[in-house]
Amino acid sequence: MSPTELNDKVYDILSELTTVARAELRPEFTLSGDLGMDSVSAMEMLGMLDEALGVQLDIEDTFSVKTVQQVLDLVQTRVSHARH
Amino acid sequence: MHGTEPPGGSTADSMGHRAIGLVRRFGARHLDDLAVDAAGEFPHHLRETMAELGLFGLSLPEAYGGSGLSLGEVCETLSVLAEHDRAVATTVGLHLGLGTRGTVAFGAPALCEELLPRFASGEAIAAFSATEAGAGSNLRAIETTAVPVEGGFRVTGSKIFVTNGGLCDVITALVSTPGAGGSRQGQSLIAIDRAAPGVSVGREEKKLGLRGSSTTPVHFDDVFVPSHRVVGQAGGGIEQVDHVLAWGRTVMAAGCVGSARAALALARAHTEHRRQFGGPLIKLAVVRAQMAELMSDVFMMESVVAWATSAPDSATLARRSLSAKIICSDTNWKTCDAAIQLHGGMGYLEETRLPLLLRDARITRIFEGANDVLRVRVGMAEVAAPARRAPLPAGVPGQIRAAFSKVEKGLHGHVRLRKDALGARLLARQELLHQIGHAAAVVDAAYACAVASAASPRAAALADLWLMKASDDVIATLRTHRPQEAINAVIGDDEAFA
Repeated sequence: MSPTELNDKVYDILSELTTVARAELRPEFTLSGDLGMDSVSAMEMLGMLDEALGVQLDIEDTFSVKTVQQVLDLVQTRVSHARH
Repeated sequence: MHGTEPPGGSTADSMGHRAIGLVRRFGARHLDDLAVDAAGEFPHHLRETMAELGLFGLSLPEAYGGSGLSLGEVCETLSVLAEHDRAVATTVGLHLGLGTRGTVAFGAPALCEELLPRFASGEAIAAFSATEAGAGSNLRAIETTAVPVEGGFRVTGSKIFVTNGGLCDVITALVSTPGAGGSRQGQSLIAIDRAAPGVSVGREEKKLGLRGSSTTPVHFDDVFVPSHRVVGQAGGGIEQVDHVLAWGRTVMAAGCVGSARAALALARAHTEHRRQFGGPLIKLAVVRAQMAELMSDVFMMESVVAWATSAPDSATLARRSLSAKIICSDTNWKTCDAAIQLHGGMGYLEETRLPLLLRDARITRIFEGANDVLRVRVGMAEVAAPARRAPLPAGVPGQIRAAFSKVEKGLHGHVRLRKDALGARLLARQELLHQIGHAAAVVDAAYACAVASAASPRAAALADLWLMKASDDVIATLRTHRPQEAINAVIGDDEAFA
C-alpha cells in the first residue's frame, strides 16, 4: 500500500468512527476536541487500524496519539518498519 | 470541580445513620409500592413529607440547605428506600444523582446559589436528559444543539426517556455546542427551566416497571437559556457527564441492593413457613442451596457498592461504578427471579410484590449504560491498563485470599495471552472485550467480597460461597468460544444481514 493509500485508509476509519465527514478531516484535528473521540473510541480506532492495515500497533500507542497527524505518522512508521 | 467525598458508610451517630432511620420509618409508614405501581404515577401526596425529611437534599452541600451526605451514605439511605418502593427511590435517586450532581460538582457559585437551595428543599425537582432517538449508548451522536446568541444560547432538539421529566422543574441537558470552549465537537451540560418558553414535556411512557417513576420525552423548540446556566466548562460535557454518570450508576447499584434485600426477605419468610414434603421448604437441600446463594448474592452487592463508594478519586469511582452497575443490576434481576421461583405459583401473583420487584429491576440492566456496552468498555480498560487492586487487608481469611488470587490471576493470564496473540487487534474484537469485561467486573466483585470478609465469620462465610461462584463464572466466561463461522452460519455474514 502506498503512503497515500495508507492515509486514505486512516481517514476512512476516522470518519467511520466519528460523526465527521471524510472530506472535512484535517491532519491538525485533535482526536478529542475536534473529532469528539474519547479513550474508548481511540482504542477502537487502533484496533481497526491494526486489523485493516496489517501493521503491528501496540495498545500503549493509544496514549501517545492525540492528533490525526500523529495517527498518520504512527501508521506510516509502523508500516515502514514492517517492510525492513 | 469539587473534590470527591470521603469514603462512604455511616456510623451510629452520623447524619447518614439518622437519614437511614428516617427513611426506614417513612417507608414502613407511608410507602405502598403496589399501590404506587397500580396508580402508575409518583405519589405526589408524599412529596411534602419527603421534602421535610430532607430526602431531596441528602447529597447536596449543607451550605445550600442539603445534608451533605457522602456518596456512601446516600447509597445506604437510598437502598433502604428502594426496599420499600423502587419507583420512589428512582425518583429521589435521579434527583440526587444525574439531576443535581453536575451542578454540585461543576456549577459556578452563582448557579449553585440559584439552584441548589431549591433542589435541597424539594421546591424544585431535577431531571437529566442525554438520550435521543438516534443517540443512546453513543452520546457523542446527540443532535440537540445550543447555538450561542446574545446573553445565552438557543436550544433546539428532542430528548427521550427523561426520568423525572413529568415532575421536574429543572432539566440538565447534554447538548451539542460546536466550538464552545475551543472544542469543534464540543458538548456541554446546560440547566434549563421546564417552564421556559419552548420547552414541552411529552406524555408519560407506559413501562414494564418503575411505573411510579416519571419517564417522558422532552422537546426544546428554540429555547433561550442564559449563559450562566451552562454547567461547568462549555465544551466539557462528555467528561462532566462521565463524572455525573459514575455517581448515578453507583446510586443505581445501591437501589439494586435494596430491591434484592426485599426479594431475599420475602424468600426467607416463605421458605421458613411454607411446608411441603413433611416440613418447611428451608429443610430441603435444593432450597437450602438456593437460599444460601441468594444470601451470598446480596452480601456481594452490598460489598461492591461499599467498595465503589470508597473510591479515593473521580477516575477510580468512574471505573468502579461500571463494575458495580453491571454486577448489581444483573444480580438484582437474578435474585428477584430466584425469589419468585422459591415461592412457586404464589410468586407469580402481583399481591406478593415479587412480580413488581422483578419488573422494576429489569430496566437497571439497560439505563445509565446498557450492560453489554459497559462490559466492552470495562474490557477495553482492562486490556489497556489492568486494574490495580490494593492488597487485601489483614483479617481476610487465607482461604478467601487464595480464592481471590486464583480468579484475578486467571483474568490477568487470559488478557496477557490475548494481547500476545492479537496485539492492538484485540481492541477491535468486541466479543473478546465483552468476555474480558464481564470477567473483570466479576473479579472486582470478588475483590469487594474478599475485603468485606474480614468483618466477621458470617461475612467470611458469605464471601467464601460467592467466590466459588465467581471462580466458576470467570472460568466459564473466558473459556467460551463461538467461532465467527458458526455465528455467520446462523445469522449470515455482515453484508447479508444488513
